[in-house]
Amino acid sequence: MKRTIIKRFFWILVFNPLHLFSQYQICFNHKFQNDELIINKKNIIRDDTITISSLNYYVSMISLHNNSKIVYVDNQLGHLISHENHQSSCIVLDCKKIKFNSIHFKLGIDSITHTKGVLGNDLDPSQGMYWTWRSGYINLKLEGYSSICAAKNHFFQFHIGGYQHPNNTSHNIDLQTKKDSTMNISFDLFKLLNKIDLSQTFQIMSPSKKSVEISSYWKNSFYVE
Amino acid sequence: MKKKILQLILVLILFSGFNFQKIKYFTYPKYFPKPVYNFKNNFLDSNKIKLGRILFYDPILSHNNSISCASCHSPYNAFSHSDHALSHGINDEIGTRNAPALFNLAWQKDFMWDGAVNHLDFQPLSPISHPKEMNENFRNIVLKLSKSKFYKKWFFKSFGDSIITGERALKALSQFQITLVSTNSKYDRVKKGNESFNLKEKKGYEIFLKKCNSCHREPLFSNYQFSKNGLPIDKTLNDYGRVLITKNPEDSLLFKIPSLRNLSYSSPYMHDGRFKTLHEVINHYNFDLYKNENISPELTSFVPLNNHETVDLISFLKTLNDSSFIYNSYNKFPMELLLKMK
Repeated sequence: MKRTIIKRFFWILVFNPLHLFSQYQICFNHKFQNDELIINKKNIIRDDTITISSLNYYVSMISLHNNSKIVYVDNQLGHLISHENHQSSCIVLDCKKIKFNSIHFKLGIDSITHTKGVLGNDLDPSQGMYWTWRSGYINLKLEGYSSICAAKNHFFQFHIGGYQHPNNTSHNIDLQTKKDSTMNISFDLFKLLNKIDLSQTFQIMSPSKKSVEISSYWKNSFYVE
Repeated sequence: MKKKILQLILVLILFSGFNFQKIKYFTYPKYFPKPVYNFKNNFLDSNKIKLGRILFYDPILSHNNSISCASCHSPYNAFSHSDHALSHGINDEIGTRNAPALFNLAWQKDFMWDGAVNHLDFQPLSPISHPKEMNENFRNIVLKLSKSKFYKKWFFKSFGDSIITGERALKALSQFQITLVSTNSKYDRVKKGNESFNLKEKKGYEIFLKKCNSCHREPLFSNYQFSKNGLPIDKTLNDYGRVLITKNPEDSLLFKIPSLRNLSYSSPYMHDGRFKTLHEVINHYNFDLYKNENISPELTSFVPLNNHETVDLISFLKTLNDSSFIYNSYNKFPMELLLKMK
């Protein structure tokens, strides 16, 4: 087992040095009302206290553009961004120095990838981001506690997914960026949760109108600092 | 000239290194349509098929290591659950649907009675995680497999290294299930010109073509679409089929059309296993269909069969049984593989 891992690293070093010398990376910084998001920290807002216990989501189809011309396309089918696992909140791009001024990506997994059968790495169903009772990736898994939430233990859980019309929950995002070795993209969870009445809506775990609605709030919570 | 000969010899030596002989693990007769499963993403390989077979029969896939896929999909029942209208899973829990027979899966696009699953690769996730079936977390299965030396050896054999992932386990399970091909019934032998129907079977075949073929289309004996066949709702189950998945009210009471192959082995019938015999099934279409207005258009003009026709139709349906599939030793419990690699 150890040997095979060492062997793999060796071949990666020999054949794919770009992994080590890549110029750019995209980092997703998770925030709550402009502060850094801390898991299980109580955030007090007006009449509610919100705690985030877990945050996972997919980002796919990353491309870099220079004045609307595509200069780089990421070839990985999907990246799992997991707040618990800090390593994965930055995505290293396999490219040399290039000129670009905007970044495009998709939040969630597109419908074509959904029909490809089982996939590996971040898209492996053992990551816990694939529904078992029906087909489809969970594009966004957000769980936590809100004092006004009527559920047991005030627990809210949003498993937002769905890839078929009219319940498609993946969204394209275009952001203007400066050319920098690390591009910081912020995702403010307050912007998302602020749109949801947690006293009424606290459990969404299947493709529906409501999940499409939440996915649109999700889309609007990303910005470049 | 010499140079050319030298080049030719070099090329020949080079090519002799490649193995051009393709072993076919998946064959089907000429009158079958092309399979829909995309083999490019999961090339069939002898070891992967064997690994899939071992996993299929291993209760390690359930929470308390008591239930395997084969518990409800037994080879001797064309991979359905004999004698159980509704299958029982972990701790004798009983679910809400009849375990469907498994064969000719490479031709199917949607899985489960309500089409909840869009690809064969993902299908095992459903029974594995269902609290009344195997009640196991898929990630935990990967952990359990990773702790086993036996499985490390098999994953090494199949994938070139011993790293065990969910993707690999599911691909292996798909490979085994794809090789469950049933194409050697009497019907097939007649189709190939090796045998002929007797009079009753012939008459039955004509009735079948007129009355059943639009949904249970030959040669697969299903078009693998969804249909409302007029069964009254069982109030203890309240199962409305496909609408649970699509949430489109028009899809209420739609269930996947099963294949009619291997019928004698796969009793009881219907999504909730309410009928034990083929007579009961045909009698439903004969006498009870008119009671329900909410049926698929193919059935609205169904003219009931008389007793002779019913007997003839059943004679034909029995020609769809494929005993060579049922007793295929490559499909049964992998004793020889378990003994070989202890």
